[in-house]
Amino acid sequence: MIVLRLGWRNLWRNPRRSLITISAVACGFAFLITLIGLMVGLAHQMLSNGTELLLGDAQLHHRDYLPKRSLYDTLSPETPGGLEDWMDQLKALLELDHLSPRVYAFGLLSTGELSAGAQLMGVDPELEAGLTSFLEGVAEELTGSAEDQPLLLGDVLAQELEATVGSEIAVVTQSVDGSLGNDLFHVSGIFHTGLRHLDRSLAVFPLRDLQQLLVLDPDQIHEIAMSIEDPMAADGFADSLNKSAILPPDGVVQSWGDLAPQLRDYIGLARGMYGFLIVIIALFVAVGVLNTMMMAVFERTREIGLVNALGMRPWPIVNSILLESFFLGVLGLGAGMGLGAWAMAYLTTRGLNLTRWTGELSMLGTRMDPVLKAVWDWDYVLWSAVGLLVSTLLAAFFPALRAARLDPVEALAAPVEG
Amino acid sequence: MGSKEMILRLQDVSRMYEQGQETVRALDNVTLSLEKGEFVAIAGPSGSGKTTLLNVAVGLDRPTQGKVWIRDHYLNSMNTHALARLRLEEVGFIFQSYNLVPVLNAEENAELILLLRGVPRQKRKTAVLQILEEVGLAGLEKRRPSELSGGQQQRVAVARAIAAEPALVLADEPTANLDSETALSLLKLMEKLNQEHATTFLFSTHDPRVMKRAHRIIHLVDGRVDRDEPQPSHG
Repeated sequence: MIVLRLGWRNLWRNPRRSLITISAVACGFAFLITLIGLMVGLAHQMLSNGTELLLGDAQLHHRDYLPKRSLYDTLSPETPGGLEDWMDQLKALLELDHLSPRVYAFGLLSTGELSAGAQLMGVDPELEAGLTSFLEGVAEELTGSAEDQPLLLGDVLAQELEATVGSEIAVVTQSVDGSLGNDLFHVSGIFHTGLRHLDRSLAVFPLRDLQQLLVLDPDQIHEIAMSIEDPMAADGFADSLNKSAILPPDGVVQSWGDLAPQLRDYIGLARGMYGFLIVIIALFVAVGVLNTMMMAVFERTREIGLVNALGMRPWPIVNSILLESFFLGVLGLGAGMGLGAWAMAYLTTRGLNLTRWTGELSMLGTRMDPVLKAVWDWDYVLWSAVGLLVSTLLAAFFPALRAARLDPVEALAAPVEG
Repeated sequence: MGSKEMILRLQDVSRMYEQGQETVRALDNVTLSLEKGEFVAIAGPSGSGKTTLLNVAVGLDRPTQGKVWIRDHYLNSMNTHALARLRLEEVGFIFQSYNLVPVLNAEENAELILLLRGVPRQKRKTAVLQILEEVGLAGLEKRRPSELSGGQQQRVAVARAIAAEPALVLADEPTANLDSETALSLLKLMEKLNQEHATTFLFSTHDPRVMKRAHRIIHLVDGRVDRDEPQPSHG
């Protein structure tokens, strides 16, 4: 096709100018790939830290449990095999990666003359270790014998109580039968999540120990935390589970987005930012391409007049200029992909080390790794490429229309290119 | 003469331009006609209206008054697209200089009109190679305009103009930028093609040596036809 040939060959009439424009497109695309890669990496890290630390991807509660967290709103599956059997069924049916039952209460912890309020959390150490990371390295300390009455404390709480491993802690709480539950436990481990509110308030017990303290049956729990393969699919997962018959009649599942709306808001905001970034870079690229194509049309005024006089219709003229711009865009995107992939190869493996500026940091209630690693998000790579290509074509549209509307007599009288 | 096909006809054609406060009359009541196979020069000094006449004759410019026909096509009633189509179908062009598309080689330039007309590739290639040989450019088909001399470039333009066998070939001072020998050679080529293909040629010039080759000379003075006379040597 003649317009293809004209578009491609015209591109190389002023190689320096074309290469500068191609470089601008390439830099814009590489910038978008790496910046969005880092932002996606940050969002992934926030999400995985937010869900993997303690939250899980979704949680099942009694429908009245949140937000009051009343001790009495427990779940007790009505399957013949009890809680364990029901959890096995749930896991198999939904192909869940992990799930963990939990019991919660508020209580007072004392050592000698020191005391502190705390959130009491009962977990199955083995199941919890498979699901979350907040007990990393200390979960096995909860698996001691029943006589040991083991207990894990957050490091700030332990400091306040001047407790160390082996310290005896008196725990006082309200039980579901209205009595005052109290017992002695021994600190078997101290954990550090990096989130001060958890390290300050959390005391973790073996599930059955806390159930006994609260006078709950072994099948009575407050929460089942679950993890699924794709955390971004948690909303759909929660919706479908809420409609299924396997849930206890008073049970309700909520996704991490429902449980930590600030996380969902951040990820939504980040997505908006990606779009905004693509638009901004596309505008910059468009200005560069517009300038290049205006110059090209201006220099070829006589030639355009010639083909117009010969009888070439306006659309082939428009198309040859749009194709030239398309080639500029495609070559720029190719080079930008190479450049971006090179940067991403580093940023996805080594990451961007922010330790010097940030130290240990947390955002929106989640612990953050100061080494920020980028993550490929092919959807946004594609959208960036489409955005830049569309901007190069739109930018060329005005000069192309101008070329098509040139008066052949005036164009033929124009000065000749260099 | 009377039985020959009418190729171009201008009747009382005037073209006025506004230049500041003044109205410039570039063509003034021009009436002329060309029949098939004529080899006609429009002669006159610079500013006499030669280029304007050629532009109006093929619909590149519109007359302020008067009527224009190419064959039986009445140009005044045609829109821009129809005029472009008419030029593609009926007219070949040879301009003074920078006549070719720089990024296309000689063969591609010569086949441009055929390509725009949608002639099939094989037919196009055959016709173009034949015409390039006819204009003496065999072996130079793959050269870009920048690799050809001025005379060779004009020969490519001639090849392009006649490859599609148009009714009329317009040439606006085709020899203006050529040395005498090359100019003469180009004119001989145009004359040969005129005789062999019966293609009508209308070219503008102010060079007396070029005028000598024409079979008929239309003299323009201040936009008016001063004289329209056949060349005695060509009967």
